[in-house]
Amino acid sequence: MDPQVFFPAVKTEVVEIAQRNKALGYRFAQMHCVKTPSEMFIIYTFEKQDLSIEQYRIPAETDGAVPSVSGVFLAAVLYENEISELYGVEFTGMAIDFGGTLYETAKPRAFAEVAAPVKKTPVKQAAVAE
Amino acid sequence: MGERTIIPFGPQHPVLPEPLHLDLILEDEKVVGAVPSIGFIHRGLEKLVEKRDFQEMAFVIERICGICSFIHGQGYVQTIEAVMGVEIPERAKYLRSFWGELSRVHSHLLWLGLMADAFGFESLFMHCWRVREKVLDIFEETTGGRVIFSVCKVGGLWKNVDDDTLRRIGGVLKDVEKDIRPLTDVFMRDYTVQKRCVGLGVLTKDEAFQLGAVGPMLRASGVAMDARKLGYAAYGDMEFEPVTENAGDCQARIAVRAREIYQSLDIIRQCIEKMPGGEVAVPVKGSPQGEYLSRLEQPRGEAVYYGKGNGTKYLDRFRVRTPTFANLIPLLHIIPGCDLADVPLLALTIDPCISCTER
Repeated sequence: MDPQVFFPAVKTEVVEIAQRNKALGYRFAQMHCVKTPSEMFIIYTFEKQDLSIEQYRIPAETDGAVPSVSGVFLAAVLYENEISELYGVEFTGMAIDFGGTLYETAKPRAFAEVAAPVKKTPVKQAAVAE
Repeated sequence: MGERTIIPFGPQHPVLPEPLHLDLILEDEKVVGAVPSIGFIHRGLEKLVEKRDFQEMAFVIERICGICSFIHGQGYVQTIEAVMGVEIPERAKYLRSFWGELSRVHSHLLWLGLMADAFGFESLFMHCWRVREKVLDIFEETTGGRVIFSVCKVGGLWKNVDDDTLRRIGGVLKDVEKDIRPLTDVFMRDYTVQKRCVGLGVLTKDEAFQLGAVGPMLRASGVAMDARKLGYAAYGDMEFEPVTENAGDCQARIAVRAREIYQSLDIIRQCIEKMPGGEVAVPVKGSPQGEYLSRLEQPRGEAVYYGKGNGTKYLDRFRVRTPTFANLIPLLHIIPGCDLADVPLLALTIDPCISCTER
């Protein structure tokens, strides 16, 4: 597999990046949020008809507003609503704002906290505990 | 302008195998807008990577969907292999393509059956699903499962298929092709099908590309994009070109899927003929560190998988962008202007898989 490049960017640049890529013949492929114990960021992926891609990484924060790219690519609207609902990242200027009703998870911002790994109990110990 | 009425469509509806809700805004019989609601089966499966060993997650990711299960498993292990720099044996690559194309055949037969059922052609629906059973029998024989296969692992495959079995399956697939031919002829030429589907839900080439449509939905509008051309698994060694149609309507989407069945059968034949010998797995040491985004062509279209490892056996993130998620916005674009009675066909025309979409 070829190494992949995720170009660093900041949130104030995303609309301009989307417009520039659109002018170059790219379309919006996807975006997603990544939350680790030390950082949180959003990855934007644009692809061309020849399947080549451009990827950008922007730092994000819960409650920090990111400009929506749905005005450039309407396709982004579901992704932005998903990130907003699961991670609590706010997007300004979304073409359609579901207002937190896309998934309606039992717990708000369910993906914003990093979960602890499951500690496996050996079968014998589990049986004794019961 | 007539009086506007809002009619709820779904989440439970005879044409929808899974729950999707649309609020349809009508002026008399014409639909002028649609507002979607999803979230009825959101399971948060992606979040489990933080709690489960990366090898165990291959089994979980397959369970995102019962139709695309194999390719979800393949997408996951392929992403982790890219992060870890693992090169799998050639035979494993060929077998992954073999099972991937079988998945496409059974998925398209399932969809053609559902489409026939949606426009009231019950016997056609039954014949499509009858033939599909033969494909599921091949899965059962080679993997042990008919829905969940659990054959992919990071480093290759859990199971091998011997050459004699593969050759015999090649013979079975010739019979399957003979069975399919009269069915696809009905879909392509029958007056009642044409009457119902030609000119319905037109998506132009530019709209399909800009709105992010993928798979048959995109190719039916004349855009020759197919992630298999990236050459993952054994596709780099296969001879094929993306199947396209130009009309961009329901009939074109039927035609693309029908023609793709023959293309998949041809790719399976190529896999069997060119199948290299040797092992199907290599040992994998260590834990994934780094990130990678890979793309695979599911039966419903391009799926995107992103994995990020931190050097432990638990991943930081695994993301799946499924084809139906990408095709929802194009669906909302083709609904306005149609009659209320056409909405079920249009909703079905994207081959919606809501389990995949919501994960």
